[in-house]
Amino acid sequence: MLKGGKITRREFIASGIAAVAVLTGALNFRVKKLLCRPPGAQTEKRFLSLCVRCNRCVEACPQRVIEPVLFGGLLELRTPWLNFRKSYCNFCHDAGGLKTPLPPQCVVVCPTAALGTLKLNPAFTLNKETGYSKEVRTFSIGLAKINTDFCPQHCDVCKKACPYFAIELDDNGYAFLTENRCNGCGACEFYCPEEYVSKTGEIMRAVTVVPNGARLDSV
Amino acid sequence: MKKWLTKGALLRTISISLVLIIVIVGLVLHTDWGSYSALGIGELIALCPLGYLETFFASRLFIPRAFVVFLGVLLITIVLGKVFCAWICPFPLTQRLLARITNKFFPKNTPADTEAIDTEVPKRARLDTRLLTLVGVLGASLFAGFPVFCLVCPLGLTFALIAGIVYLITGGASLGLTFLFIPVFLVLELLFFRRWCSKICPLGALYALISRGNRFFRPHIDAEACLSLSGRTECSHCYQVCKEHIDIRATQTTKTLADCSKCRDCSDVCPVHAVSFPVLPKKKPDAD
Ligand code: SF4
Ligand code: SF4
Ligand code: SF4
Ligand code: SF4
Ligand code: SF4
Repeated sequence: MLKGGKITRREFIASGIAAVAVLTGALNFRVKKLLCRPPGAQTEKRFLSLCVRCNRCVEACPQRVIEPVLFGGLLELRTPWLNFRKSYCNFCHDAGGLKTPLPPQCVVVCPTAALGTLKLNPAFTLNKETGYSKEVRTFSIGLAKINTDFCPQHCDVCKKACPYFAIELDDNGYAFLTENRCNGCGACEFYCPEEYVSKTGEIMRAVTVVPNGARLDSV
Repeated sequence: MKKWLTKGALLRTISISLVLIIVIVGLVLHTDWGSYSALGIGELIALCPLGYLETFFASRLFIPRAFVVFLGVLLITIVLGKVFCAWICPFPLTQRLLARITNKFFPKNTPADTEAIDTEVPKRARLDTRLLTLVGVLGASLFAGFPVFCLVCPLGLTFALIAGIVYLITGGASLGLTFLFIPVFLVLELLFFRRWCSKICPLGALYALISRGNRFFRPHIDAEACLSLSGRTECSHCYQVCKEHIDIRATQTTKTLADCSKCRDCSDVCPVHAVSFPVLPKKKPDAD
């Protein structure tokens, strides 16, 4: 193989075997839970089929919340995910302190529309009814999930953090979510001060954004 | 001694490094320039044509914008030929560098750039195994529902390796054990598939397919000046030096000019400077 002679067939079979190994590895060996994808990713299946792993969205995000996956499974390697421990997505609404909001940069730069036509969360078109004040171009990334076992009474950090007024405190002082106002932007998780270790050994926050399509009980 | 840094090699190295530097600067400065899979500014992009086809088959969706970019890349390739392989792709350069290093320690190995060239005239065209890979990865993408080759593409892995190191320093992303797959697989490809480019690479195959339409900047031999064609000596320097195994004298090869990456090695090596790259094809000299 190294001599550069004519053994092309063996070389070719070797590469074939390698390819099959990688393929099966990719299909079986995956990130255990779904990751939050940048807005516009729609379903995980569509997203994974279109993303060419070019890193443009990662680099373009003014909030620097997008990271490439460099852990977990082969299939997800180099695809973008949102790390809400580091930042959150503001849909590029007040990026760089600009008066005129930018269109979501990750969607703009994505060459294959893996981050594509944004799926509008119907909740945000009903501004008047929901008492919604801010003009938002918001598209659902996921849904916040508040774990009241770890969420202390009278903490209102996430309530203050949420730009969409999706979190309020109930009569006992526990945070609760109005689901149709949440778009999964991650601000609550980013600011949440309460951390705990989940059954699977992951460091969680009392409020965690569960990506679209993930079963709530899987987190 | 073979002079290994010819003018063409120097220019190529500069060009390849420049693209790599742009990619790394973009990575560090958080611009939106991207990587080899898609390089651009804002909405102006060049997209890897193989990546486009793979995602097209994997998603079974027609994405107009991506298709337009794909057509643009087709057009550029038809005008310039398979230039990507000699002037942009870092794989052959990395492979030669690595071969140089490993040969210091394991001198038995044949370095990639002195790969044996068949001297006898092939009876018939050999099966182009790259085409099999191309069809294979497109089929696999259709079947698996994700761009299969992107997972192991040496360009993607090269970029991911650099990105991983940069992010390790800047704290831009968290790395896990799976990250090790990237350097390991890349080194495997570089070391064990010495003829990756001529036998396996589906991207090279795709560029070669598109370049069949290329008519510009093709190597042209001045038959009177050429030592071999004019019958003065049995010179075959241009054939020996060509990494694509093209015989531009068209005496011993079944490979066509579609595989020419416009590296200019043949022109650099010719002792009588008989090879040129005219913009428009020159008329073939009348056969007599
Ligand atoms: S919409 Fe803007 S802030 Fe949100 S992930 Fe995309 S680039 Fe980042
Ligand atoms: S810009 Fe699009 S194709 Fe590129 S990594 Fe991001 S999602 Fe994938
Ligand atoms: S609840 Fe959290 S994730 Fe949902 S919109 Fe508010 S801040 Fe964003
Ligand atoms: S054949 Fe493939 S790896 Fe080789 S130079 Fe061309 S694109 Fe790069
Ligand atoms: S024909 Fe000449 S320019 Fe083309 S690839 Fe071969 S050596 Fe390079």
